[in-house]
Parts: sequence; structure tokens; C-alpha cells
Amino acid sequence: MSSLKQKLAMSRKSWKQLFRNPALMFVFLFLLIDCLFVAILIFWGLSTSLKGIDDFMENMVFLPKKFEWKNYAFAFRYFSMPLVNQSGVRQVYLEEMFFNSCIFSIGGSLVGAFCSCWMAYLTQRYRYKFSHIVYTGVLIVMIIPITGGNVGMIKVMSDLHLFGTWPSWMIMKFGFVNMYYLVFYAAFRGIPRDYEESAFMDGAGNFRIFLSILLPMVSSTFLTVFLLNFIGYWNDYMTPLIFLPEKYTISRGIYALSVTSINAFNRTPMKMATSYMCVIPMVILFVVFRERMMQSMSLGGLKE
Amino acid sequence: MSNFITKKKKTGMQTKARYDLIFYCLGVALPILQFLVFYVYLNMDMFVTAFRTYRFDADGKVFYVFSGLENFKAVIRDFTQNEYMVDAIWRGLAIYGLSFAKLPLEILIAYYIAKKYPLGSTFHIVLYLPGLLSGAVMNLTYKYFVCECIPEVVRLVTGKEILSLLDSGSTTQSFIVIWFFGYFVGVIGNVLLIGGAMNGVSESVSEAASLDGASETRQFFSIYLPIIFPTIVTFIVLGLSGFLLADIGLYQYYDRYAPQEMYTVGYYLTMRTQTADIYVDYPYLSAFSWIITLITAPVVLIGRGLLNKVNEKFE
Repeated sequence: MSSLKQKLAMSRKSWKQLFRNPALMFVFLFLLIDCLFVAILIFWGLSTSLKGIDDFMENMVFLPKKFEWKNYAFAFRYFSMPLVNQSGVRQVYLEEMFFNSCIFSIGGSLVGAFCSCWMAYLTQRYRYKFSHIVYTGVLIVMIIPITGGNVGMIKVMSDLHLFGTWPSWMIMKFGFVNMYYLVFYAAFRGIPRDYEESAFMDGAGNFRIFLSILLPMVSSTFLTVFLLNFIGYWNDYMTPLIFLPEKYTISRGIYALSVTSINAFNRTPMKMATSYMCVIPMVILFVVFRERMMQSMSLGGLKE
Repeated sequence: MSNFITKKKKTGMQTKARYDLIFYCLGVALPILQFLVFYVYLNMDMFVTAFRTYRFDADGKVFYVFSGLENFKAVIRDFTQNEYMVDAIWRGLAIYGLSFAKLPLEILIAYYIAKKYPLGSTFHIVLYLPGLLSGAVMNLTYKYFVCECIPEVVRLVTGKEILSLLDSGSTTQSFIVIWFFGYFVGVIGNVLLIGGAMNGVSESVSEAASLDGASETRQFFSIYLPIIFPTIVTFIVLGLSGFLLADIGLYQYYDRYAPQEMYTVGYYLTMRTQTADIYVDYPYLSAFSWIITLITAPVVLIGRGLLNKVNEKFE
């Protein structure tokens, strides 16, 4: 009871502080309008996704007269995109898009997070001169921006006869020159060397020490990096469009849906139903990892 | 006996050092190879190709010959003689400038959320949703919202028929409508980074300051701002590298067919890359990329130097 009273008193105090400070009041009003706008937009999208075609033509603004859940069932069953390649035209259905999205997102995130973590481990734990060169090199490369490398990447991948294939995507992501390398480097720096020395005395090899002792110690950072990358890749439609032209991911499918007109999916309610159905995996992920996803970002990336 | 033990220990250490070195070399080999191919070789190849042009041999295959500065001249010609490309540069700079101008507001929003002012957590979640639900879904929703819902609302309220906000014939209006969405809905990404740094300030520090009579404004400027300043510096430096390529996501709305009056340099580069015949257009696009890099790199380095000086003063 007293804790509830305390909470109410705190809440009253923060409202009072808010009303007394014009800058905070301005931020509050801005956030209120911004959030209302986002909420209305999402609500309108969801509401439209549940309308029948005729219902939508008569009533574009308000709630549906009858909730057409079958729009989602129809989208789940029939959503497809035509893929034109050298062997002709074929339809890519949702299950294939989902499969491609999983490989693209899980593969890219896992390979990317592992490579950054692995290089950070090697260069932080093994004090060779080369480690120092690598660390300094990463800092320099990150400071000097070289833009427009996509075209060069396509050319190199084409020269290697890998362009448009899954291995090309994994190879692209098998890099360590990124912010996450520095994050893992800092995480490893915070772990005392005694652990490895004890493990070595007990007969553990180098790889075993990494896998069984140090990796579990940075597992929280690893999971956060993985999640952030995963969300980014799952929602990314541009990379598949440029580097994997024959692999439709879900995001690329939604993108194609927004810029093309395809018979049954030409109507706004169907477009909305299809696109909102495709974000269900992200919503589930958000519900499970909400705290970690929203509170783990800090300077240069992450904090524990 | 003790000599024997010392010798054995020494041999053991040498063996471990050798194994460590082998393990290390094997471990770094692949990532370093990836870096050498996809960063060093790739950029060198782009640099060399920027000075070449393509020819076809008897079998119809592309090969390159040295052409001096022709590609660079072609890019500069495109950006100085084509009116829409000159406008594209200014448009990109305006987008970047406006995004930069939003930074103080983003800092204040991060402060608001970090200090848990009324409805702070709710705002945090709602603003996080657009990033989670994918740009493709949010842009699609917004596109139909402004094309179908808004005209209908106007008709219901005023009785007047208006055209879709994106297809009214005015490219300026369409541009502003698209920019508005990215500008105000895309606020959270930076807020998360800045807010993360603010969370590092212990509540006891803030409480102690309050007890000493420090106002909210004083706390913000004397406690929070100095702590998050390195984050802001990092953020500005990273953002500077994209100042010429700032875009509003035109691709999402128009694919590769955006009206030329709406072009930005970032959109133009993406569109050219996506539609390129990779061997034929490669020299031109390489020169394009290097010109952008040559303009951007000094700006980033100078900006970083200046900001570091300001940071030192802050400390």
C-alpha cells in the first residue's frame, strides 16, 4: 500500500516537474503527437487489413464493418512474386520467402557476430604485434569513409562466380571491420586472464578455452549483437535486391508489393494484410526480448 | 633435478607459444583474407577502374583500356550540366542539414525517456515500433495512408475532393510528404543510442544534484550532456560520412522510376548500381564513388578533429 502511495507521489512529482519546465513540456507534446501519429498509422494499416474490398471502397477511414480475417489466410496461402531469371519466370511463394529470410537473417547475423567476436578474441587475448596492427587498422578504416562500394562488391562477386548466391552473402558478412568488433574487444578486455591460465593448467586447448570459457562470458553481448543484426537483416529489402536478385526475402516481397501491381494483391486491404502478416515473427521476437532489444544500446553499440 | 624441471618448464612454455602462434595464424587467416579481398582489393580495383574505359573484344567480352580522367570528367559533367543533378546535390545537403538540426530535439527526447518522465516508457515503445516492423511495412502503410485515407478524411471534413498527396502532380509536395514521414517517424534510432549513454548516469548522482538545489536544466547541462558528449561526437562523425548521400527513401515509393525532379545523389547512386551492367557501367560508377569519397573523407576528418577539440574543452 505504501509502495503504491510512493509511486503515486513520484508520478505526481514528475508531472509537476514537467509542467514547470517549458523545454520538457515541448518534448512531451512532440512525443505525444509523434506517437499518436505512429499509433494511428499502424492502427489504420491493421484496420484496413481486415476490410473487404467493397467495405474499403465505401469506408477508407473508419473501422471495418465486418472483420475479414480471411484476408490473412488468403495472403498466407497465395502471396507470391514473379521471379524472372535465365531459365524463365516462376512464382516465389511465402514459404520460400520465409526460408530465404531465415537464411539471410540468421546466417548473416550469426556469421557477422561470430567473426567480429572471434577476431576481437584473437587480437585482444594474443598480444602479437599483428593484433595491434589489426586493432589500429579497424579504427582507421572506420574513420575514413569509402562510399559506393556496392558496385565494386558486385563486380568482385561476379568475378568469383559467386554473385547472387548464399555463399556470397555469408562471405560478405564474414568481416570484422565494424563497430561490433570494438564492442567485443572491450568485452574481452574486461575478463581477467586467470580463467584461461587455469583452464590451460587443466589441459584445455586454445579453441576449447574460447568455446567453453570466454564465449559464454560474452554470450550476453553476442546475443544482443545477433538480435540487432537479425532485426536489421530481416527488415532489409535493399541488400537482397542488389546482391541476391534471385532470392526473394519477405521484406523484399513486401517492397515489391508496394511498387508493383499484382492481380489479387493489387487492393489496399490485401497489401496491408500481407505486409502485417509478415511482421509477426518480429513481433514475437520483440515480446520475448523486449528489455534486451530496447535497453542494450549505448556508446559505440552496446552495454552489458 | 631443479635444472631438469626448469628445462622442462621452459620447453613446455616454448611448445605452448608455438601452438599459440599456429592457432593464432590459422584463426586470423580467413577474416584477414576476407578483408584483403573485399576491402583492400575491392577499393584498389575500383580506383584503377575509375581511370579505364570498356571495350569489346572479338568474342563480345568486355575488357578495359586506360582512359585517363574521362570517367571523372563524365561524372563532373553530369553533376554540373544536368540541372536535375545539381538540384539533387542541394536536395541531399538540405536533407542532411535538416536531420542534423534535429539532433538537439533527439537529445532532449533521450533525456526525457532516460529520466522516466510521464509516459516515457510508452513513448519509447511506440517510437521503437516503426524500426521493428520494417521500413518496407511502415512505408507501405504511410504510402496508402496519404494516398487514400487523407484525401478521404479531407472529403469527409470539408466536402472538397483532393488528389492523393503523392500523385497530385507537384513533385515538391510529394517530396515533402515523403520526407516528413522519415523525418518524424525515424526519430528513435538516434534516441536509442543517445539514451543508452544517458542510462549510464547513476540515479544517485541526479538525486544528489537535486538535493544540492540543481534545477532540471542545470542537471541536463552539467551532468548528462558532458557524459553523452562522446556519443554525440561519434554519432556526428559517423553521420558526416553520408552527408552527400542523404536520401529520404525514394526507392521505397518509386522503385527506380522516381521523377528526376526528386532525385538525391544517394538515390541516383543506388538506382545506377541496381540497374547497371556491372562490367560496362563499372568504370563510371567507380569514378563516381571515388569523387564522393574524395569530397567526404576530408570533411569527416576535419569534422572529427574539430569535435574532438570541443570534447576536450568539455572534459
